[in-house]
Amino acid sequence: MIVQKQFKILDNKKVADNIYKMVLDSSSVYNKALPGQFVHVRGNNSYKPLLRRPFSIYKIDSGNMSILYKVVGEGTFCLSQHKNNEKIDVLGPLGNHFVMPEGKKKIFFIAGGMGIAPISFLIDFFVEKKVGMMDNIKVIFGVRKSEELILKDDLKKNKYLDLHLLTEDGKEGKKGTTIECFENLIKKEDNSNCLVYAAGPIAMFRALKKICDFYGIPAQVTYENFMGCGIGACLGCVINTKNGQKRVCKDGPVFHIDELIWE
Amino acid sequence: MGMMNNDILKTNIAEMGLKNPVLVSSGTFGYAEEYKELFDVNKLGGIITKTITLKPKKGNASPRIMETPCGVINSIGLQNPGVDDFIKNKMPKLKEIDTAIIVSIGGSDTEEFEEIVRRLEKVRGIDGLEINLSCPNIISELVTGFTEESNLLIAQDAYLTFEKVRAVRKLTKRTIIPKLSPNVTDMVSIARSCYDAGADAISIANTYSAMAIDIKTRKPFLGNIIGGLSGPAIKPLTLKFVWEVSQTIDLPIIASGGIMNYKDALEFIIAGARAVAVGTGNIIDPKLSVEIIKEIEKYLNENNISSIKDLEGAIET
Repeated sequence: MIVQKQFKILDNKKVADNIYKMVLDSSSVYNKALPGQFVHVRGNNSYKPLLRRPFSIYKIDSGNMSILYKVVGEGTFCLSQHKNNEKIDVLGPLGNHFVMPEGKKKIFFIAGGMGIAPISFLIDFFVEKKVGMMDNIKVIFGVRKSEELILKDDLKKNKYLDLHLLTEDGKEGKKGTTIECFENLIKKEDNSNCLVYAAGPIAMFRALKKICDFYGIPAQVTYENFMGCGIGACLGCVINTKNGQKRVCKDGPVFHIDELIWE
Repeated sequence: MGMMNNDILKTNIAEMGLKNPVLVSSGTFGYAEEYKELFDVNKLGGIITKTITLKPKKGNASPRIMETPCGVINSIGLQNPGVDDFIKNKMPKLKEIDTAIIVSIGGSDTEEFEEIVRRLEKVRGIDGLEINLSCPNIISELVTGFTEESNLLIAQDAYLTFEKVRAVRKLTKRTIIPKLSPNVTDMVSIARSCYDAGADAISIANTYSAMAIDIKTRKPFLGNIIGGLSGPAIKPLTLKFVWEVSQTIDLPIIASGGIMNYKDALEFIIAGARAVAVGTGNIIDPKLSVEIIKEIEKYLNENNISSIKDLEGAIET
């Protein structure tokens, strides 16, 4: 069920250069939210910014719900200014979710930049529900600058994960991109039973699509678009797909990579 | 207390009774399906549907929506499933809602408007028709709102407006409400055409033609290049149109333009509107309309006003 409510901010702190984590006391109303779903957040009650902003759910933990966000514009700047104990208007959970694998699969989680937020929620879900083949989860997480490797300590602690960290500046982890890493790994695998879950920028998806096509690997990705209502009514975020027109907010944000059109 | 108070909000547009003067405007509320999950839509004064055209329409390229200071520019482009699908799949659920259902219709020529009206005539549960003569979002093809001769909106020409409204009037006894464009030099003359053609009311107004450019890429933000500006930025502009038209034209007005709270709604009513429609506000706060209804009722009680009708055009100049 979709809930619109004012929630108290328990924590809103900088976790890296320009990246923040906001923990909300969502009093368990989002406990049934699934990985890939998002919340639509109103920055404040004024008209600046006017529209809500969508954020992937990053964590559901003992009744609290958290998001991760990078300050890139007016909306996210406004969020970053909120103090603990203030209230914020949230609408959610919205959209569809990642589809869990049937049977045992070799799982690849690929996160580019802030894509780590939904991927992290998905990892939590896999671990908690013991989904799939728990000894064969590969996480590929790449960022531009090494300081953007948020959550790396949490990921390193998780004994189920075969973690691959990548940075473009090469200061931490391996120098390179998520897609280069994925291609190197997939070359060595019997790729008949692989499954990819990815979140990140469009350029990453484009490159991913080529590799998935070549090796015949199915992939689910979370797509982003400018959004209005977030509930499927205003048709502001509609995109063309191979299966017709889709509302990113309601029919997505998770799509099979084959369904999307990459011009 | 409850029973008496319900009456103070009651109003009407011609034959169409409204339980309160707060409607939701076309294009921001779909066909109400999505909002049902969030609040009791039976509380609304009325629902104006997303515009329906004769054939299904795919709408414009993405991006279709962007934010400006205190405003939103959209270029959805009338994406809709067409009148037959609307009748078959949307209407059955819409007519279960206990409020006035106003179907917004769009067409590129008179024949299209006539055919839509003919098909809707057989359908029960429709209380009124809003005639969309003013969608600013299509420049690449000649569709709703644009004439075949030029890129003029129907609602930018007094005769074309008369012609379309007259054609609809001849085919239906239902309450008909042409929706006007604010992109005009003289809205009063267009409103007069509506009156002369037999309209029951007028909807003032659609969005303001607008655009935005990304200075990094030098490309327009919107896939369609141009769109329509809505939101609190336009409220004072549309308020002036409502006042101006209500001074001269003897037709009830449904006002819509950036209503974000009950004060905005009351301003429009005091300026001369019979009812208001919340648009962009729904996108930001889905429950805004019911909030506004509650607050208007409170305002009337606190100020000892026995009927919302007493406020219509109560401006003191």
